[in-house]
Amino acid sequence: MSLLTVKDLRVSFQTRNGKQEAVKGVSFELNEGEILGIVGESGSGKSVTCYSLLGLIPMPPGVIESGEALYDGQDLLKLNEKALRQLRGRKINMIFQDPMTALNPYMTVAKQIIEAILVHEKIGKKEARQRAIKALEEVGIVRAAERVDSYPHEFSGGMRQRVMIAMALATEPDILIADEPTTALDVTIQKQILDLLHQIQKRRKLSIIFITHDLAVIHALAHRLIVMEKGHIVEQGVAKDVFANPQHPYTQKLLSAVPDSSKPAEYKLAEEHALLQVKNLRTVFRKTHGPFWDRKTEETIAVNNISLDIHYGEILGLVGESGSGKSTFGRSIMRLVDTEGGEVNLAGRDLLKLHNQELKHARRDFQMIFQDPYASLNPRMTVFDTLAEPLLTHQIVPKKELLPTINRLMDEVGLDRRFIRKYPHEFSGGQRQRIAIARAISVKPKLIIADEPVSALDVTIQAQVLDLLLKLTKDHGITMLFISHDLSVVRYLCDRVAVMQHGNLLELDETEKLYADPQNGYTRKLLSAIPRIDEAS
Amino acid sequence: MTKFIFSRVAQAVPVIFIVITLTFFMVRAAPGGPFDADRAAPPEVIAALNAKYNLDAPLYEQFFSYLGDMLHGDLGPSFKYPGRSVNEMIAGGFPVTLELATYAILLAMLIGIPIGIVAALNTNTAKDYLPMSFAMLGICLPSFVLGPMLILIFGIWLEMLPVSGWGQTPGDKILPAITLGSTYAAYIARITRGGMLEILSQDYIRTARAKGLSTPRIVIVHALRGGITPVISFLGPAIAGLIAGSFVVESIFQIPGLGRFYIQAAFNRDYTMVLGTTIFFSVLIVIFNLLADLLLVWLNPRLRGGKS
Amino acid sequence: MSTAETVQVESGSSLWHDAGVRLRKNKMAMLGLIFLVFIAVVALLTPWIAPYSYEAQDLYLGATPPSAEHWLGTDTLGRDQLTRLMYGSRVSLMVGLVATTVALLIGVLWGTTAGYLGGKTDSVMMRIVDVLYALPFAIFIVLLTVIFGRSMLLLFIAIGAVEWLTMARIIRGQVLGLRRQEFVEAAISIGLTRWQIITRHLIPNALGPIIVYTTLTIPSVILLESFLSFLGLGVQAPMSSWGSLISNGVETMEEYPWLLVYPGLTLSITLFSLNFLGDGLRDALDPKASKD
Repeated sequence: MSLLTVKDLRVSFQTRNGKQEAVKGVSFELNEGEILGIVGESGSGKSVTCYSLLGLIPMPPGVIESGEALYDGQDLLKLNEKALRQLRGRKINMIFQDPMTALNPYMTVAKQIIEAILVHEKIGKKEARQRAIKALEEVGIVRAAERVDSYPHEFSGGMRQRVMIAMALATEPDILIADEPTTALDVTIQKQILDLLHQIQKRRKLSIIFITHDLAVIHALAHRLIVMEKGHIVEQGVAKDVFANPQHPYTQKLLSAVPDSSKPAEYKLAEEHALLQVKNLRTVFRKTHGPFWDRKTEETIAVNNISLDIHYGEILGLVGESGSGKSTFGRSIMRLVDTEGGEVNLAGRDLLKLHNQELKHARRDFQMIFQDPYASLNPRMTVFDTLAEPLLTHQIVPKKELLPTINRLMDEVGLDRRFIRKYPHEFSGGQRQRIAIARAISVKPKLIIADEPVSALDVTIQAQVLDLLLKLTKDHGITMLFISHDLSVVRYLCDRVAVMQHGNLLELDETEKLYADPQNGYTRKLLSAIPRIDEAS
Repeated sequence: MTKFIFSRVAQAVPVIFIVITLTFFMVRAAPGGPFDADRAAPPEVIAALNAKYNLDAPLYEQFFSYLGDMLHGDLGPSFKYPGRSVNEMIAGGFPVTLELATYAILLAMLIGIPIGIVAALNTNTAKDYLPMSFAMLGICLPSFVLGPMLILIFGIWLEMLPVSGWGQTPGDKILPAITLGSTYAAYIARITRGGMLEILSQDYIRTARAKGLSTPRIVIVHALRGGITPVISFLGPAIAGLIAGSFVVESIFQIPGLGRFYIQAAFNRDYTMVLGTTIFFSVLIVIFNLLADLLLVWLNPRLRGGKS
Repeated sequence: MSTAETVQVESGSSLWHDAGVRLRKNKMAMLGLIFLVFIAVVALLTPWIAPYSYEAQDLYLGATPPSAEHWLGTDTLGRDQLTRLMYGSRVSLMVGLVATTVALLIGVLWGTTAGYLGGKTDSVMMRIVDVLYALPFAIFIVLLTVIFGRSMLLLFIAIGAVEWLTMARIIRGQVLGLRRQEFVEAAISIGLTRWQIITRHLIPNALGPIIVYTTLTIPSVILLESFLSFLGLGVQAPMSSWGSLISNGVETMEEYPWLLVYPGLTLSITLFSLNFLGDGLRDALDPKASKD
């Protein structure tokens, strides 16, 4: 039975550069008691589609050009604001991506849930409070009766998402729209939330629209799947069929973009000399607070006596969840944060002992690629200037060789030479990351530390950048420390993998060995939490 | 929370001490003694006066005795009006200034906040541009231009309202309050608009809309608390500005308030009066800054818990 | 650079260029700019183009309404109002510029040092700013003029000393924010010197907010000077500033309203122009706006 029927929905936005169509004639149905996955990359229109059903896109600049959305005999798109409000939050509820910001920080959880109930139902405050506590219990918050009067900041990220879900369930809706509900969460928490949604859906026979960019996340969950690209639905069908036998080239591309295989053999290297030896590296962050007569210093040990070697020519993966200290480890080697002790020997020289001038010269040998391609390039410098800076600083080439060298770099990272006079904001995210990569390889470093270099990119772009990194490390014989939270990406790229948690190194082994037979309990938990697409299920 | 109050009060104490020290020594460092201006005073008279006001003692002694007196709430005698103390003059003038400033700030908030909210809810429409143009007008028409113009229009040409005095004729408090308050109404409108825009773009406002709440409820229950925060942090500096503004408004409308006394004392070189009033105003401003800070913390549950 | 394989290089459009385009589209800001240029040129050329001498009195004439000889009328001493207004503009604008420059220099130096060095130095430096911030400066300036008499130099220093505090705070905030940006870390990784990082990466990116805030500081400085002159603590006759002219105008506004209206209008329109230009610059330079 179809619960919600959307026909030929078109939505556009009025922007500085004229009208832009975000959703271009989308039709689909949501059946009773099913989970419908809507998958697409940024700009595919997947969120706008769902938001416009509930009148949640800002208008202006948004305009619903045409279409209908039938629910319970009424067309949602034709309802006035008041009638729509009756449905919104009562029959059709939403949960959002970032639980940190989606709850009002100024109100207790109790107030927010009770408000959600009372706005639609005429019941007493006490009764509503009981309902709120019950809803919190249902989503697995222990001691809900005590914690209901806490403020959102007193809950962890995963718990807050549970609170959001409880709030959405409190009015017993027919439809739950979940907009990337696990994207901001660590992988182990993500698994818990996905399991929770699965349980609730079964228990309540709820219909869920699950919006995501990540096919793997939706794989075990969705009954049916819609794939969107640039405002169009390019494919829809039963989830199993779509995964097993994708019809549209874009779906095929999306599926193949999720690397779930080991590192391609042609890129594997088997040298066992250590290029970088890290011994007992220790980094501590101190935060002081309180008045001057009662200063308290809070210590966070971000990197706790870590020792490891990185071999010539290998890519060593470093994985961990947020707060594990993996980024700080990379930054400590880069000398971007102050360390407390240990040694970092690069080709026999201890980087931590180098002083000013020596360090500046030595930096030629180790470079970094950062996570956010929007922040890692100086917005006021052209690509040419950005790439010329390291070349000139380390006198890699004479001035008159500058332009040909930069042109060659552009070729190598797959950017058009014509664009060297352009500024970062004129490029897409993937292109910017290519510029950042070109900057890192321009000085011909021995070691590159890549800190989550693809996590800000769309999956199809991710795959391209990963392949570029593989090729460049091989061509130039570059050794790499690849920091990531994404275990699939690490498996595809790395020869060996190290796992960190709370500043400690738990396990380090060859990639396939570690994935097949993890020794550490946390590693096992981490690996089992990875959402994957395997044909067997 | 109590810990925070203690630490903030502890920070305010040195500030007040610095103000007192700085003012005291600046006044004492002024070229010439306080009685030089009185022409042809015989040296023995000046000596007697100096002795009377303890001015022949070493400077640090004077400072400590002044501090001691002040701790007892005594700001000393006026040099220019023998027999009158600075305390008496403050007690006479301050209630008037306080009343004027209270009307002005109430007026500013009652006008500024609603205007700011309406503008934020209707960005880039006439309901935004029109009030914001008025706000700009309020900022660009300083009190010493606005006040005389109001007198000219409502007092002299239209003869609707009295143009001077305080509490003598009905309605004589209206023009001064408007004159002093308009600039702050304008600032508060702009700040409210900015704060509300920031909050209205937050994710939790979208959550509130998804819950099916009506716009008025979203604004009042969810947005206002966060949106008003910048206004509250503005209140501290606003009080300082209101006091300075009262100098102008009180002299334009001939109101017997402390601001006018202060400027007169400045012209008369009545050192103790200037010194005493400066310290009084400074302490007042420090206290208001403190209150505004406490209010901010109290409004924010993340800070209230004592966690950073 | 003309090798055989030269390709057609597309020129990029820098953020400055984009901001300029946006600013030119902002009518109010452009009107403000035009008025400011006009009044600045007039003030600059005043000694040569002023119709009368600023000291010239004509006691027999007394106060007259605007006429063909005296476009803006004369005051009670028979002085030409237009001339006095032109000389007053010189003083007011000069105070605005000089005091803002003082504020800018101290503020930039203080703010960048605190923001870039960070740690203890930063917290001590900013604590000093906090303490000074809590002081009632308008009152202090009154006190200063009482003690040291009325001098232009004192006015410059006093006003500059007040305004640098906000400047320092804003710039420190900028520098702190930028220092955490990945492109600055990338510059460190490349091995640039501290000086290169500051001049090539920090300053160009902090410049936008600095320009905006400077534009918005000038009106508040002009206002402060007018406030003091209005109270009789600023510029002395026969020199004039907008504040002192307004003050004179208030005394006789019942009989000779034009003596109040013209200086009041000039001051307000100038403040309008500066504020609109400042707001326009902020909208144009706001990096968030350039993302869409």
